[in-house]
Amino acid sequence: MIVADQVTMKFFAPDKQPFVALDRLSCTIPKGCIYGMIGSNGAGKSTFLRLLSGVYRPDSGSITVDDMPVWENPAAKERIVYIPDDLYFLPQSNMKQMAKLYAAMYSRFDFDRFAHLTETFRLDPTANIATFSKGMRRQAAAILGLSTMPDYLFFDETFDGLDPVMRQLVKQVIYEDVLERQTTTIITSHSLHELEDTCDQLALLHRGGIVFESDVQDLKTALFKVQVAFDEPYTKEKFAGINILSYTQMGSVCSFIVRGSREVTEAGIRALKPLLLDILPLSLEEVFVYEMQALGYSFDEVLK
Amino acid sequence: MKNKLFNYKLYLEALKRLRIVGIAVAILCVSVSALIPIYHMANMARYDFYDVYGMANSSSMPFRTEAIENGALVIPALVASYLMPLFVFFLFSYLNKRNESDFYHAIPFTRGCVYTTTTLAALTWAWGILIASCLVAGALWAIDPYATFSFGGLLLQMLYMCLNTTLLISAANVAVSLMGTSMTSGIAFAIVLCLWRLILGLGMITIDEVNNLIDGSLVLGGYLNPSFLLPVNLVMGEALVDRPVVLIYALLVSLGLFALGGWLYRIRRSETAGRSVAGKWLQILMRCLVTLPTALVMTYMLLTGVGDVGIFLILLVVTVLIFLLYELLTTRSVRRMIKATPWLCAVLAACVVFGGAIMIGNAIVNNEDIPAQRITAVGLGSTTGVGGVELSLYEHNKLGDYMTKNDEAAAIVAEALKRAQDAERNGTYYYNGLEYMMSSSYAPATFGRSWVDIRLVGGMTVTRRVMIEQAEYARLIEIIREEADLTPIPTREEVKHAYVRLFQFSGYDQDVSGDTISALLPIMEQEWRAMDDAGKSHFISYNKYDGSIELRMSIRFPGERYDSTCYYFIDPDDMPRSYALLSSEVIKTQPSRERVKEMIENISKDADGVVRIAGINGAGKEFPNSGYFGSIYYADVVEFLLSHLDDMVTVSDPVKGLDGLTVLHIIHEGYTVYEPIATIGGTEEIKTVYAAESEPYVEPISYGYNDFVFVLDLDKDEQDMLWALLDEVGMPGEIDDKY
Repeated sequence: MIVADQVTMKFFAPDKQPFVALDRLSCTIPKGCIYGMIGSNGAGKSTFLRLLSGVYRPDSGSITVDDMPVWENPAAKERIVYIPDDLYFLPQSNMKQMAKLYAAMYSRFDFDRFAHLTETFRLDPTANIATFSKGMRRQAAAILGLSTMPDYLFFDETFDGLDPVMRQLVKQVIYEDVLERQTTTIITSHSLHELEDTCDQLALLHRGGIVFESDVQDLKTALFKVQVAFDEPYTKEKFAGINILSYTQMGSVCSFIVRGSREVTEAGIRALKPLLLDILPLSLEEVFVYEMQALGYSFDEVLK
Repeated sequence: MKNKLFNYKLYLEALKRLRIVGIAVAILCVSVSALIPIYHMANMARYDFYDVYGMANSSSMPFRTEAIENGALVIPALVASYLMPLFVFFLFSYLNKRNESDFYHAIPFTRGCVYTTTTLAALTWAWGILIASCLVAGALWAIDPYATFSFGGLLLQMLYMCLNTTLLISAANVAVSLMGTSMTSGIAFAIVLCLWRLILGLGMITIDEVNNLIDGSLVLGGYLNPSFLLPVNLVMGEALVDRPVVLIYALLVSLGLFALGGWLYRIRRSETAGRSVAGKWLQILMRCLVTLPTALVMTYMLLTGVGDVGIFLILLVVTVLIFLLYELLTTRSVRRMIKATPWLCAVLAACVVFGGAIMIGNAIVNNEDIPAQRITAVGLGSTTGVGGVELSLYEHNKLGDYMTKNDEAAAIVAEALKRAQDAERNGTYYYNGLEYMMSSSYAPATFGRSWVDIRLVGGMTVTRRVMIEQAEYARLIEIIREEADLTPIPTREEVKHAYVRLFQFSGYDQDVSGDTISALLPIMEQEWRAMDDAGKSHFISYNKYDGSIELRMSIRFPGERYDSTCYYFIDPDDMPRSYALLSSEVIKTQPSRERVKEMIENISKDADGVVRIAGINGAGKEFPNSGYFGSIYYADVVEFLLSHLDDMVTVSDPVKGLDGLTVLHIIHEGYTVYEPIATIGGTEEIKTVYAAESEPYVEPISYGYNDFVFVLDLDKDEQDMLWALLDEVGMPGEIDDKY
C-alpha cells in the first residue's frame, strides 16, 4: 500500500520564485489497485511519481510503500519500477543489453518473462532501440519494467504514444500482473479516456493537490442523467428530494444530473406522471465534469 | 538490502559503459608510451651507421648509453593522467539530462552507492591505463640497450600519475555533482581545482609588492600554496621523492574532494539536470567566481601600481565580458544576463574586501610598535645578507630556528624594524639599498635589508624584513655565532663528498680525498678565525671567480633527505695553507708523463675526436669561466704538449700552489675513452655512462670524453708561444675550416 501524507514539493529556478509542484498532497493507494491520475501539465502528476520512485525527496510530508520510506531505500525501490514519459536507454543499445543493465540493478529481473514479453509484443531484442518508433520505445520500456517483477508499477503517460492494439496489449499484461501478483499500478494521463476502462480508482490533480478522487465503478453508477417532460408548467422544485447536481429546462422538457439510486429516482419521477422519461448513463468524463462543478471547479479549466 | 557504498554489478555496468572510450584511450596511451622507447632504440641504433663512416660530430652525437630521467619515462601517460577526469564527466553525464538523471536516481541503490561505484569504475579505467602504459614503457626501456633507467623511479612516476589523476577525478566529482551541464561542470572543475589557489597566489604577490616588511607566502602560504598542487608539481617536473608531504597532501585533498562530491551527489536534486546550477545562489556565486581572477588582477594593479591604464582598461572589459558571457552561455537568456549585471557589484565588493584586507594588514604591519622591550628573542630568517655580510648555508642549517635572547641583538633588530617601518610609511624604502649604493653613484640609502624572526613578549613570533646597516648585521651575526658557537666549517663526519671546482678552467672539477678533507678542515677553521669580516664574507660568498679555489662539500643536514652543497672560496692570500693543500691535491692527481704521452698519441689516432682547451691561465693571462675556448684541431696543441712533457711538474711547495705555473684544462671528446688516467672528476653525464656500462672505460667505441689539466712549468717565451698558438688556432669561427 502506498501512503502519501501531506507531501509538499517545491522547485527552485534561478531568478524565479519557487514553484510548488505538490502542496500538502495526501492519498492512500491500496495494494493491487490500478490507480489513475489525470491532470493538466504542471498539475504534479510526474512529480508525484518521481517522489514515489525515490527520484525526489519531499520537502515536507512523507511517502511510504508498505510502510517503508522510498527515499534512499534500495529495499523499497527494488520493488518499484517507474516508466517515465521521457524514456532513457543506453546510447546505441538494444533491448537485450538494456535487460542486462536492468538485471544488474533489479535482482528480481526475470529473463524468461522478458523473452516472453518481447515475443508477445513482437519486438526484436537485438535491434538498436534508437531505430524504434516512439510507440515501440514505450513498449520496450514497459517490457523492461514488467520484467523486473515489480510490486509497484508507475506509468507516466506511457499509454499516450501507443496505438490502440498495443495499448490493449499493455493493459492486458498489467491486468495479469495485478491479478497474479497483486501489483499496484499508477497510471497518469492527460486524458480521461485513456484511464476510464483501466483503472479501479481515479484521482484528478490540480495545482499540486488532489481535487477529486473516487472509485471508478462508484463514479459510473452514482451519477446519471434524467430527461423528462410534463404536460403542465413546472420548475425544479417539482423534483424535491432528488439530489440534482445540474439542472437545465427548455419548455416542457428538462434534463438533470442526479446523484443517488437509479431505481429510487426513477420510481419517484414516474410517480409524477411525466409525458416522457429517459434515464441515461454518463460517460466518465461527464461524471467528472459534474462532480467537479459540484466542488466548484471548472473541468475544462483544470484539464485544459 | 543492497550494499550502501558499492555494488559489484553496477560497477561492471559502469565499466562497460566506459569500454569504448576506455579502450580507445588505452590503445592511444599505451601505444604512444611504447613508441617513445621504441623510437629511442631505433634512433640510437641508427648511430652505428655513423660509427662506421665516421660522420658523427661532437655537437650532435649523444652518448651511446643514456640515462632516462624518471619524468621522461612515460610522458604520454603523464599527459593522459590529466585527461582522465573526462571519464568522470562521461560516466556522470546522465546528471546533465533530465530523463537519464531520473533513471539513475530511481534505480534501487543508495545515491552513495551509485556515486562510489561509478567513481571507482572511472578510477579503474584511469589507473589501469596509466599502469599499463608505465609497465609497457618500462618493459621496452628495460630491453633498450641504449638506455638505463630506475625501475623504482618508474614505479614512483606511476604512483604520482595515479595520485594526480585521482585528485583530478575527485575535483571532477565535485563539479559534476554540483552542476547541471557539461559546460558549467567544466568551469566548476577548474574553480574547484585552481581558483582558490589562484586567489591565494595573487594575494601573496600583492602582499609582497605592497609591503616590503612581510612575506606573502608566510601570510597566505602553507598547504594552500600553489606549490602544493600535485598537477602543477608534475608539470613543472619537480622531484617529488623529496617532498612526500606533497603526495600526502594530494591524497588528503583527493579524499576530501571525493567525500565532498559524495555529499553533494547525495543531496543533489534530479531536476538540476540540464540547468546550469542547482540553485539561484549557486548561479550567483559561480558567475562571480569566474569573474574574480581578472578582477583581482586589476585590484593588484591598483594596489601596486604595476601595469598601465591601457592594460587596466583591457582587463576591465575582459572582466565584464567574462561575467556577461558566463551568464549568457549558462542560462541562454539575454534577459537573465541583463538582470544579473548588478551582481558585478559583488565582484567589486570582493575586490574591495581583498584589497582592503591587504591594506589594513599593511597598515598594521607598518605601524606596529615593536620596541626592544617587547622583543624576547631574535633570529636570522633566511640566507639573505647585507652588503656581503651573511651566514653561510651551513651555519643557517646548523642554526635552524635558533634565536638569541641577547639584548643588544634585540635592540639592533628593533631599530632596524623601526627604520623599515618609517621608510615604508614615508615611501623611502629602497630595494636592497646598500647594494644599490655600492654599485651606483646615486646612493640613496646606507642600509641593506634582511629577514629576521622576532619573538615577542607573549610568545608570538613574527617574521619581518628590516632595514639594517652592514655593521649592525655583522654584529648580529657575531652575537649569534658566539652564542651558538658557530663556524661555517663542517665537521669531518658531516662531509659526505667534496670536490674542488676551478673556475679558471671552465669549471674543472676534481674530487678531494677524505684524507685531504680531514687535514684541511682544522686548517680552514684556524685560518677562518684569523680573518676579518671581509675575508669571512668572501669565504662563503657565491660565484667568486677571482682566482680562489672553490671547495664544494656535500652535507646531509638533520631531517633532510638529500645532501646540501656548501660552497667555500679559498683565497690564496687569506687562507694560504688551505689553498696550497687543495692545489697540491689538484696537481698530484694528474697523470704521469708516460700516461699522458700514451693518451695523446692515442688521441691522434682518433679521427672523430676533438680536443678542446677549456681553460688556461699563466703568463699574466687567463681564460676564466666563460665556456670553452673553442674546439681546435688537436695536432697543433698535441705537438706542443708532447714537446713540453718534460716541463710537467708536481708541485713540491704546497704553499706556492699553482702560482706561476701554466695550467691548461684539456677536454678530449671522441670514441676512444680511456680508462681513468687519474682520479679526475667529471660531469654527471660521464658518470652516468660509467654507471650504465660494466666496463665503460675499455669500451673501444664508446663515445665520451676525458678531461684533465696539464700543469706546465713554462718560461715566459714558452708561455707567449702557447698563447700565440692558441690565438692562431683556437678562435671561434676558424674552427670548422681547420677541422
